[in-house]
Amino acid sequence: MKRFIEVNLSLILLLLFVVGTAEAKKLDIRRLLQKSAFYDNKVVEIEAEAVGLLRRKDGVWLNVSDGFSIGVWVRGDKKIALPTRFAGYYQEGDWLYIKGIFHAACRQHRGETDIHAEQIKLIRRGRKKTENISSDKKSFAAIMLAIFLVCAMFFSYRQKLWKKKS
Amino acid sequence: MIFAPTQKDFSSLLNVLGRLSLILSTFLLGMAIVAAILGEQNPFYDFLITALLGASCGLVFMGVFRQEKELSYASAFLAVAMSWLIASLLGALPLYLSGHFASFLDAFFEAMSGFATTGLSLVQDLDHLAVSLNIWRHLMMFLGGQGIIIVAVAFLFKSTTALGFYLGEARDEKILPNIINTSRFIWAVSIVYFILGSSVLFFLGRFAVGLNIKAALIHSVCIFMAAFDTGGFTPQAMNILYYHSWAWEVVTLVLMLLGAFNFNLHYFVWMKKKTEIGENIETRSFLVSFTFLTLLLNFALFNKSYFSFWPLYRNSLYQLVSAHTGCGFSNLPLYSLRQWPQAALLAIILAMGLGGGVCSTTGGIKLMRLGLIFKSLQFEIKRWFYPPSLKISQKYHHLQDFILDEKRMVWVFSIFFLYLISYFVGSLVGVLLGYPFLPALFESVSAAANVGLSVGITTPSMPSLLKIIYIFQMWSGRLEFIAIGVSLLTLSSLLRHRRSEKIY
Repeated sequence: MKRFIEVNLSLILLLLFVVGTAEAKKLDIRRLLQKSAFYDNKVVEIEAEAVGLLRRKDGVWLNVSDGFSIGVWVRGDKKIALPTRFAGYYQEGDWLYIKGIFHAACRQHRGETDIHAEQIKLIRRGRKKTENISSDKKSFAAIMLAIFLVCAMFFSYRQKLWKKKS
Repeated sequence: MIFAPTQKDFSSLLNVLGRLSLILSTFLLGMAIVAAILGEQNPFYDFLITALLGASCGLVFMGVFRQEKELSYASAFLAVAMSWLIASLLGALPLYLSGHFASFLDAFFEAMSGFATTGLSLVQDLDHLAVSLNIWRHLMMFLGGQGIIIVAVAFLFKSTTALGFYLGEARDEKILPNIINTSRFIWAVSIVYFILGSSVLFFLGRFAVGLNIKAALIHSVCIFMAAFDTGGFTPQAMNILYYHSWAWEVVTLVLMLLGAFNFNLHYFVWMKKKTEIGENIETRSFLVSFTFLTLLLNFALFNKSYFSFWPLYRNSLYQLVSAHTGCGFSNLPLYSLRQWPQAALLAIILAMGLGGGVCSTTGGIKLMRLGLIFKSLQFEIKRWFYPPSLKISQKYHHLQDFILDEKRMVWVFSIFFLYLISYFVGSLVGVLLGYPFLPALFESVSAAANVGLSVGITTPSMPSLLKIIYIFQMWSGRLEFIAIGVSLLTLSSLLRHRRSEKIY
């Protein structure tokens, strides 16, 4: 019986650990920023879309967003594969898993709020979406052009009329 | 004599509004061309449809209503107030059609925020917005900052009508004797700064920040327009933090300060007397208020999480300059300001409420009025030291020496109290809708003083009533209330007159 309780207790603890780890993986940037003092200098894991990449001499700034945004610092000597597709018009950026140390006010980067990356994994490759234009929009533009031409003719007729009168 | 508008006034007013609509349509057509060059098809059609709609309305107004006489000041003020609404309606349409706004009200809010150079934003998913629409958001700030009507004044109108427009856009001072030359000078100054500022930002963006050529070009132009016109929109959701560069922040600080100072002061420093900058009442007021607020802010933030040198000075000073100049840029993560202590928020609120120079692109009470209020208090105190029989006066220096007179002070205190009322009413509505007092006050001052910093109330999910209140605050704050008041009187007078014409 004692053995049975021990095994069950171990399983429960293991389950709690797994759930706890999963919880950490679900950390979103909004929570990170709201509880910045709590997470300061701790290892955090986030999932976010690549928004922009800025190359510097000693590393790279990777800006990511999951609705809220943060800068991720990737040191030049770290062998981490960087994303290639970034958020834009009809463009989905690479979706990334990022593990690193969070700084509420980073001393290395003059007080910026950032994450120093330890690991970056590609979850989903970004893609270019096709831009569809509804035929209604095209027709509406054509109708507006016709209306504009009529208005221009009306204006020019009125101008001539006023000139004649004066 | 009371102003009694006639049918001719009404006709001339609508003719002027038609012309303005046509000018705005030209800019929208330009944006359609930009969208076509960038290969953004949906925005191309959205801009084209809006441009054609605006131009058609403009032509109809100009065809039906003839400008039969020069506009009186009252009618010009009404034209200014109406033109801001028409511009925002037209400007909102391509934004709404993009699908990045929850409703037309949100798009209208964005456009008003742009034209009024506020910078509060309701855009959703900004990082996926088309580049051309992003440029349009910033261009609205540039046009609004320079004064939509100033565009027209510089090129289209006669001098008498122009002066009414100029005053209606809350510019108390002429720079040159002729108002059209003044408008052209304002544009010339802006174009010179535009070339210099965006060039510096471009090289910095390309070589120090690490942007690619296309991004460096677009970001430098957009950030210049938002910084110099103290607007506060940015092309990316991360705001200024996107660039991770203190050098970029320093350049934007300089641009914000340049935009926040009186165009008259620019003229004097450029053309006449360099030392004016140290003697002017506005620069002195700025130094006093800025020093006081810096001390207050540092005291509030000291021993908090921002204890070390860089976070304290880089972040707090950037927010303070941004607030004082009415720009609204931020180098903090979204809504981080709400984690600041209350005293620090109060310092930012005071800075936003005070604003920059008169005849500049900022909103708020303005440095000149702050200086004159202090001078007036100084005068009142001084009066009690001298015998009543002695006639004393109080001087102030703004380009030349002036004597403080009662008429001027009545005007100063009127505007001062109207701003206070606006700040209070906006925060009262916020509190009634369930927001805590300090954040409600922060957001209300940010809207009414055309700043754009936010502690998180301004989101697409905020109540529509609050959106409408903020729109009104941005509009009236930009035009400094008087134009709105005169417009309402003129409008009621016009309608009454038309009704009486129909009866008899």
